[in-house]
Amino acid sequence: MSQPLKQQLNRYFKQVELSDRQLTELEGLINAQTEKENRIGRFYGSKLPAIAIILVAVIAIFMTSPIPRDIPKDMPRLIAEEVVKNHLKLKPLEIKAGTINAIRGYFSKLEFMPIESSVVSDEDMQLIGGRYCSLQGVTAAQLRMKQGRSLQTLYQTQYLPDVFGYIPQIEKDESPLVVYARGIKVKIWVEKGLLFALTESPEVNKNEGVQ
Amino acid sequence: MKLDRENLQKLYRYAYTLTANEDDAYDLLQSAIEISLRKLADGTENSAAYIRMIMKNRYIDEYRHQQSFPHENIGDNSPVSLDESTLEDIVIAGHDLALLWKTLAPLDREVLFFWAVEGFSMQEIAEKLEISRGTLLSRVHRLRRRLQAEAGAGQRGIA
Repeated sequence: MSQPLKQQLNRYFKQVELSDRQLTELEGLINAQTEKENRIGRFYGSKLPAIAIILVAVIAIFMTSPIPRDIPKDMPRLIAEEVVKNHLKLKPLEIKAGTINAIRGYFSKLEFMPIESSVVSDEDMQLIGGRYCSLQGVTAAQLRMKQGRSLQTLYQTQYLPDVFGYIPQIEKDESPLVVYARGIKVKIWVEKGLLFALTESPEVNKNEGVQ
Repeated sequence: MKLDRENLQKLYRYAYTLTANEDDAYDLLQSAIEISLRKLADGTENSAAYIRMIMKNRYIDEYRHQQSFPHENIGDNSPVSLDESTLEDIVIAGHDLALLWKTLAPLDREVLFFWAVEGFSMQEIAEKLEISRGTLLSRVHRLRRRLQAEAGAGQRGIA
Protein backbone atom coordinates (compact mmCIF):
# COMPACT_ATOMS: atom_id res chain seq x y z
CA MET A 1 0.00 0.00 0.00
CA SER A 2 1.39 3.37 -0.96
CA GLN A 3 1.85 5.95 1.73
CA PRO A 4 3.72 9.23 2.09
CA LEU A 5 7.48 8.69 2.10
CA LYS A 6 8.01 9.91 5.66
CA GLN A 7 5.35 7.59 7.02
CA GLN A 8 6.69 4.71 5.00
CA LEU A 9 10.22 5.31 6.23
CA ASN A 10 9.11 5.32 9.86
CA ARG A 11 7.25 2.06 9.32
CA TYR A 12 10.33 0.62 7.63
CA PHE A 13 12.63 1.61 10.47
CA LYS A 14 10.35 0.17 13.11
CA GLN A 15 11.18 -3.21 11.66
CA VAL A 16 14.86 -2.52 12.05
CA GLU A 17 15.63 -3.32 15.64
CA LEU A 18 18.07 -5.15 17.81
CA SER A 19 16.99 -8.54 19.04
CA ASP A 20 16.81 -9.23 22.79
CA ARG A 21 19.99 -11.25 22.52
CA GLN A 22 21.84 -8.38 20.84
CA LEU A 23 20.53 -5.88 23.35
CA THR A 24 21.66 -8.09 26.20
CA GLU A 25 25.10 -8.43 24.66
CA LEU A 26 25.52 -4.68 24.27
CA GLU A 27 24.21 -3.97 27.76
CA GLY A 28 26.65 -6.50 29.15
CA LEU A 29 29.47 -4.79 27.31
CA ILE A 30 28.50 -1.40 28.70
CA ASN A 31 27.82 -2.59 32.24
CA ALA A 32 31.11 -4.47 32.48
CA GLN A 33 33.06 -1.39 31.52
CA THR A 34 31.03 0.88 33.78
CA GLU A 35 31.59 -1.42 36.74
CA LYS A 36 35.30 -1.48 36.01
CA GLU A 37 35.42 2.32 35.91
CA ASN A 38 33.51 2.52 39.16
CA ARG A 39 35.92 0.17 40.90
CA ILE A 40 38.91 2.17 39.69
CA GLY A 41 37.21 5.39 40.69
CA ARG A 42 36.43 4.08 44.17
CA PHE A 43 39.99 2.87 44.63
CA TYR A 44 41.67 6.08 43.55
CA GLY A 45 39.06 8.19 45.26
CA SER A 46 39.89 6.70 48.63
CA LYS A 47 43.63 6.24 48.17
CA LEU A 48 44.55 9.32 46.18
CA PRO A 49 45.55 11.58 49.11
CA ALA A 50 47.78 8.90 50.61
CA ILE A 51 49.33 8.08 47.24
CA ALA A 52 50.04 11.76 46.59
CA ILE A 53 51.74 12.21 49.97
CA ILE A 54 53.91 9.13 49.51
CA LEU A 55 54.87 10.20 46.00
CA VAL A 56 55.90 13.68 47.15
CA ALA A 57 57.92 12.22 50.03
CA VAL A 58 59.75 9.78 47.77
CA ILE A 59 60.59 12.51 45.27
CA ALA A 60 61.78 14.82 48.05
CA ILE A 61 64.08 12.14 49.48
CA PHE A 62 65.42 11.30 46.07
CA MET A 63 66.09 14.93 45.16
CA THR A 64 67.85 15.83 48.42
CA SER A 65 69.94 12.72 48.86
CA PRO A 66 73.61 12.93 47.78
CA ILE A 67 73.92 9.15 47.61
CA PRO A 68 72.20 7.17 44.90
CA ARG A 69 69.50 5.13 46.56
CA ASP A 70 70.08 1.97 44.60
CA ILE A 71 73.62 1.28 45.78
CA PRO A 72 73.60 -1.18 48.67
CA LYS A 73 75.50 0.07 51.72
CA ASP A 74 77.39 -3.20 51.90
CA MET A 75 78.61 -3.07 48.31
CA PRO A 76 82.25 -3.85 49.29
CA ARG A 77 81.05 -7.01 50.99
CA LEU A 78 79.01 -7.97 47.94
CA ILE A 79 82.06 -7.42 45.73
CA ALA A 80 84.23 -9.53 48.01
CA GLU A 81 81.64 -12.27 48.18
CA GLU A 82 81.38 -12.48 44.40
CA VAL A 83 85.15 -12.43 43.93
CA VAL A 84 85.79 -15.12 46.52
CA LYS A 85 83.02 -17.34 45.22
CA ASN A 86 84.62 -17.39 41.79
CA HIS A 87 88.10 -17.57 43.24
CA LEU A 88 87.23 -20.81 45.01
CA LYS A 89 85.73 -22.32 41.87
CA LEU A 90 88.95 -21.84 39.94
CA LYS A 91 87.19 -22.05 36.63
CA PRO A 92 89.37 -22.91 33.63
CA LEU A 93 91.35 -20.04 32.19
CA GLU A 94 90.42 -18.88 28.73
CA ILE A 95 93.89 -17.54 28.04
CA LYS A 96 97.21 -18.40 29.51
CA ALA A 97 99.59 -15.47 29.46
CA GLY A 98 102.42 -14.19 31.59
CA THR A 99 102.29 -10.54 30.59
CA ILE A 100 99.64 -7.87 30.70
CA ASN A 101 100.23 -7.09 27.02
CA ALA A 102 99.28 -10.62 26.05
CA ILE A 103 96.23 -10.40 28.25
CA ARG A 104 95.12 -7.15 26.61
CA GLY A 105 95.16 -8.81 23.22
CA TYR A 106 92.68 -11.39 24.40
CA PHE A 107 90.33 -9.05 26.28
CA SER A 108 89.52 -6.98 23.21
CA LYS A 109 85.78 -7.01 23.91
CA LEU A 110 86.08 -5.22 27.21
CA GLU A 111 85.16 -1.57 27.48
CA PHE A 112 88.40 -0.85 29.30
CA MET A 113 92.07 -1.74 29.05
CA PRO A 114 93.48 -4.12 31.67
CA ILE A 115 96.48 -2.61 33.37
CA GLU A 116 99.14 -3.46 35.94
CA SER A 117 98.33 -2.17 39.36
CA SER A 118 100.86 -0.72 41.74
CA VAL A 119 99.22 -2.62 44.58
CA VAL A 120 99.68 -5.94 42.80
CA SER A 121 103.28 -5.11 41.90
CA ASP A 122 104.04 -4.84 45.57
CA GLU A 123 102.71 -8.33 46.23
CA ASP A 124 105.29 -10.25 44.23
CA MET A 125 102.75 -12.02 42.05
CA GLN A 126 103.07 -13.59 38.63
CA LEU A 127 100.29 -13.34 36.09
CA ILE A 128 99.38 -16.74 34.61
CA GLY A 129 96.16 -16.13 32.66
CA GLY A 130 92.60 -14.90 32.69
CA ARG A 131 88.98 -15.21 31.60
CA TYR A 132 85.99 -12.99 30.94
CA CYS A 133 83.79 -12.48 33.95
CA SER A 134 81.55 -9.88 35.54
CA LEU A 135 81.40 -8.05 38.83
CA GLN A 136 78.01 -6.87 40.06
CA GLY A 137 76.77 -7.15 36.52
CA VAL A 138 79.63 -5.14 34.99
CA THR A 139 81.84 -6.94 32.50
CA ALA A 140 85.22 -7.62 34.03
CA ALA A 141 88.52 -9.38 33.49
CA GLN A 142 89.23 -12.15 35.97
CA LEU A 143 92.98 -12.63 36.14
CA ARG A 144 94.78 -15.42 37.92
CA MET A 145 98.01 -14.71 39.71
CA LYS A 146 100.59 -17.04 41.20
CA GLN A 147 102.05 -16.03 44.51
CA GLY A 148 104.58 -18.50 45.78
CA ARG A 149 102.59 -21.75 45.97
CA SER A 150 99.24 -19.99 46.12
CA LEU A 151 96.89 -18.85 43.43
CA GLN A 152 95.13 -15.53 43.73
CA THR A 153 92.33 -13.95 41.76
CA LEU A 154 92.44 -10.37 40.57
CA TYR A 155 89.34 -8.68 39.14
CA GLN A 156 89.57 -5.62 36.98
CA THR A 157 86.66 -3.65 35.69
CA GLN A 158 85.78 -0.08 34.88
CA TYR A 159 84.97 1.91 37.98
CA LEU A 160 81.31 3.01 37.88
CA PRO A 161 80.49 5.02 41.01
CA ASP A 162 76.74 4.63 40.32
CA VAL A 163 77.16 0.89 40.54
CA PHE A 164 79.92 0.36 43.08
CA GLY A 165 79.57 3.43 45.28
CA TYR A 166 82.64 5.07 46.66
CA ILE A 167 85.78 2.91 46.68
CA PRO A 168 89.18 4.17 47.99
CA GLN A 169 91.41 5.55 45.27
CA ILE A 170 95.14 4.93 45.20
CA GLU A 171 95.84 8.23 43.45
CA LYS A 172 94.38 10.00 46.48
CA ASP A 173 96.74 8.11 48.79
CA GLU A 174 93.84 6.11 50.11
CA SER A 175 94.45 2.54 51.25
CA PRO A 176 92.57 -0.36 49.71
CA LEU A 177 89.50 -1.61 51.54
CA VAL A 178 90.04 -4.92 53.25
CA VAL A 179 86.99 -7.13 53.38
CA TYR A 180 86.75 -10.79 54.35
CA ALA A 181 84.42 -13.22 52.64
CA ARG A 182 84.27 -16.93 53.37
CA GLY A 183 87.46 -16.65 55.35
CA ILE A 184 89.43 -15.11 52.52
CA LYS A 185 90.84 -11.60 52.58
CA VAL A 186 89.95 -9.37 49.67
CA LYS A 187 91.48 -6.00 48.91
CA ILE A 188 89.36 -3.56 46.92
CA TRP A 189 90.54 -0.29 45.43
CA VAL A 190 90.34 2.07 42.46
CA GLU A 191 93.35 2.89 40.38
CA LYS A 192 93.56 4.77 37.08
CA GLY A 193 89.80 4.63 36.68
CA LEU A 194 89.57 0.87 37.16
CA LEU A 195 88.20 -1.05 40.09
CA PHE A 196 90.41 -3.85 41.40
CA ALA A 197 89.57 -6.70 43.75
CA LEU A 198 92.37 -9.03 44.81
CA THR A 199 92.15 -12.15 46.93
CA GLU A 200 94.82 -13.03 49.45
CA SER A 201 94.11 -16.67 49.95
CA PRO A 202 96.30 -18.35 52.54
CA GLU A 203 95.70 -21.82 51.17
CA VAL A 204 97.95 -23.61 48.76
CA ASN A 205 95.83 -24.60 45.80
CA LYS A 206 96.07 -28.13 44.49
CA ASN A 207 96.18 -27.09 40.87
CA GLU A 208 96.25 -24.00 38.75
CA GLY A 209 92.92 -24.61 37.10
CA VAL A 210 94.43 -24.36 33.66
CA GLN A 211 93.09 -26.57 30.95
CA MET B 1 28.03 5.45 30.08
CA LYS B 2 24.25 5.64 30.18
CA LEU B 3 22.48 4.05 27.23
CA ASP B 4 19.06 2.50 27.61
CA ARG B 5 17.46 0.11 25.17
CA GLU B 6 15.67 2.87 23.33
CA ASN B 7 18.92 4.69 22.71
CA LEU B 8 20.57 1.48 21.59
CA GLN B 9 17.77 0.89 19.09
CA LYS B 10 18.14 4.42 17.74
CA LEU B 11 21.85 3.97 17.33
CA TYR B 12 21.30 0.65 15.64
CA ARG B 13 18.90 2.23 13.17
CA TYR B 14 21.46 4.87 12.36
CA ALA B 15 24.08 2.15 11.85
CA TYR B 16 21.63 0.41 9.55
CA THR B 17 21.15 3.67 7.69
CA LEU B 18 24.85 3.71 6.97
CA THR B 19 25.36 0.07 6.14
CA ALA B 20 21.94 -1.03 4.77
CA ASN B 21 22.74 -4.41 6.27
CA GLU B 22 21.60 -5.64 9.67
CA ASP B 23 24.67 -7.70 10.48
CA ASP B 24 27.04 -4.95 9.43
CA ALA B 25 24.98 -2.47 11.43
CA TYR B 26 25.32 -4.53 14.59
CA ASP B 27 29.05 -4.96 14.11
CA LEU B 28 29.44 -1.25 13.50
CA LEU B 29 27.45 -0.37 16.62
CA GLN B 30 29.29 -2.84 18.79
CA SER B 31 32.72 -1.64 17.71
CA ALA B 32 31.69 1.99 18.20
CA ILE B 33 30.49 1.25 21.73
CA GLU B 34 33.74 -0.50 22.51
CA ILE B 35 35.72 2.48 21.28
CA SER B 36 33.57 4.95 23.16
CA LEU B 37 33.87 2.92 26.37
CA ARG B 38 37.60 3.32 26.21
CA LYS B 39 37.38 7.05 25.69
CA LEU B 40 34.26 8.32 27.34
CA ALA B 41 34.06 9.26 30.97
CA ASP B 42 31.30 7.55 32.88
CA GLY B 43 28.01 9.41 32.76
CA THR B 44 28.74 11.52 29.73
CA GLU B 45 25.36 12.80 28.70
CA ASN B 46 26.13 13.06 25.04
CA SER B 47 27.49 9.56 24.68
CA ALA B 48 24.90 8.61 22.04
CA ALA B 49 26.01 11.47 19.82
CA TYR B 50 29.61 10.46 20.36
CA ILE B 51 28.90 6.87 19.36
CA ARG B 52 27.04 8.09 16.30
CA MET B 53 30.07 10.10 15.28
CA ILE B 54 32.35 7.12 15.78
CA MET B 55 30.08 4.96 13.66
CA LYS B 56 30.07 7.48 10.86
CA ASN B 57 33.84 7.84 10.88
CA ARG B 58 34.39 4.11 11.05
CA TYR B 59 31.91 3.49 8.30
CA ILE B 60 33.61 6.00 6.05
CA ASP B 61 37.00 4.50 6.84
CA GLU B 62 35.97 0.91 6.33
CA TYR B 63 33.56 1.17 3.46
CA ARG B 64 34.85 4.10 1.49
CA HIS B 65 36.90 2.00 -0.84
CA GLN B 66 34.21 -0.64 -1.21
CA GLN B 67 31.17 1.53 -1.67
CA SER B 68 32.63 4.86 -2.66
CA PHE B 69 31.09 6.97 0.05
CA PRO B 70 29.89 9.95 -1.98
CA HIS B 71 30.74 13.55 -1.42
CA GLU B 72 29.18 15.13 -4.46
CA ASN B 73 29.01 18.77 -5.35
CA ILE B 74 26.14 20.51 -6.99
CA GLY B 75 26.48 20.31 -10.73
CA ASP B 76 25.54 22.80 -13.37
CA ASN B 77 22.13 21.25 -13.68
CA SER B 78 21.07 22.28 -10.19
CA PRO B 79 17.38 22.85 -9.92
CA VAL B 80 16.16 26.35 -10.20
CA SER B 81 14.11 26.30 -7.03
CA LEU B 82 14.62 24.16 -3.99
CA ASP B 83 12.67 24.02 -0.77
CA GLU B 84 12.17 21.83 2.26
CA SER B 85 8.97 20.29 0.96
CA THR B 86 10.72 18.49 -1.86
CA LEU B 87 10.26 15.08 -0.25
CA GLU B 88 6.96 15.74 1.48
CA ASP B 89 4.71 14.90 -1.44
CA ILE B 90 6.32 11.64 -2.42
CA VAL B 91 4.16 8.56 -1.97
CA ILE B 92 5.71 5.14 -2.17
CA ALA B 93 4.81 1.55 -1.44
CA GLY B 94 6.54 -0.26 1.43
CA HIS B 95 7.80 -2.98 -0.86
CA ASP B 96 9.34 -0.47 -3.25
CA LEU B 97 11.01 1.38 -0.41
CA ALA B 98 12.55 -1.82 0.93
CA LEU B 99 13.96 -2.64 -2.49
CA LEU B 100 15.14 0.89 -3.08
CA TRP B 101 16.76 1.40 0.31
CA LYS B 102 19.77 -0.81 -0.25
CA THR B 103 20.52 0.78 -3.60
CA LEU B 104 20.64 4.32 -2.28
CA ALA B 105 23.93 6.00 -1.53
CA PRO B 106 24.78 6.04 2.19
CA LEU B 107 24.53 9.81 2.28
CA ASP B 108 21.04 9.70 0.77
CA ARG B 109 20.01 7.15 3.38
CA GLU B 110 21.33 9.45 6.09
CA VAL B 111 19.29 12.32 4.70
CA LEU B 112 16.13 10.24 4.72
CA PHE B 113 16.84 8.87 8.20
CA PHE B 114 17.41 12.28 9.73
CA TRP B 115 14.43 13.74 7.93
CA ALA B 116 11.86 11.02 8.54
CA VAL B 117 12.95 9.22 11.71
CA GLU B 118 14.74 11.95 13.66
CA GLY B 119 12.48 14.71 12.41
CA PHE B 120 15.28 17.14 11.62
CA SER B 121 14.84 20.17 9.39
CA MET B 122 16.95 20.49 6.27
CA GLN B 123 19.13 23.04 8.06
CA GLU B 124 19.73 20.61 10.92
CA ILE B 125 20.48 17.79 8.51
CA ALA B 126 22.96 19.98 6.65
CA GLU B 127 24.72 20.73 9.93
CA LYS B 128 24.75 17.06 10.88
CA LEU B 129 26.26 16.09 7.57
CA GLU B 130 28.57 19.11 7.57
CA ILE B 131 27.47 20.29 4.13
CA SER B 132 25.85 23.52 3.05
CA ARG B 133 22.08 23.79 2.99
CA GLY B 134 22.17 24.45 -0.76
CA THR B 135 24.19 21.33 -1.37
CA LEU B 136 21.77 19.33 0.71
CA LEU B 137 18.71 20.63 -1.10
CA SER B 138 20.30 19.89 -4.43
CA ARG B 139 21.01 16.39 -3.24
CA VAL B 140 17.44 16.01 -2.04
CA HIS B 141 16.19 17.11 -5.44
CA ARG B 142 18.20 14.40 -7.17
CA LEU B 143 16.98 11.94 -4.58
CA ARG B 144 13.41 12.87 -5.34
CA ARG B 145 13.94 12.20 -9.03
CA ARG B 146 15.51 8.86 -8.15
CA LEU B 147 12.57 7.96 -5.92
CA GLN B 148 10.13 8.93 -8.62
CA ALA B 149 11.82 6.73 -11.17
CA GLU B 150 12.33 3.75 -8.89
CA ALA B 151 8.88 3.90 -7.37
CA GLY B 152 7.23 3.04 -10.65
CA ALA B 153 7.34 5.89 -13.13
CA GLY B 154 4.79 7.90 -11.26
CA GLN B 155 2.13 5.30 -11.37
CA ARG B 156 2.51 4.10 -7.82
CA GLY B 157 4.15 6.86 -6.02
CA ILE B 158 4.49 10.43 -6.93
CA ALA B 159 1.61 12.64 -6.14
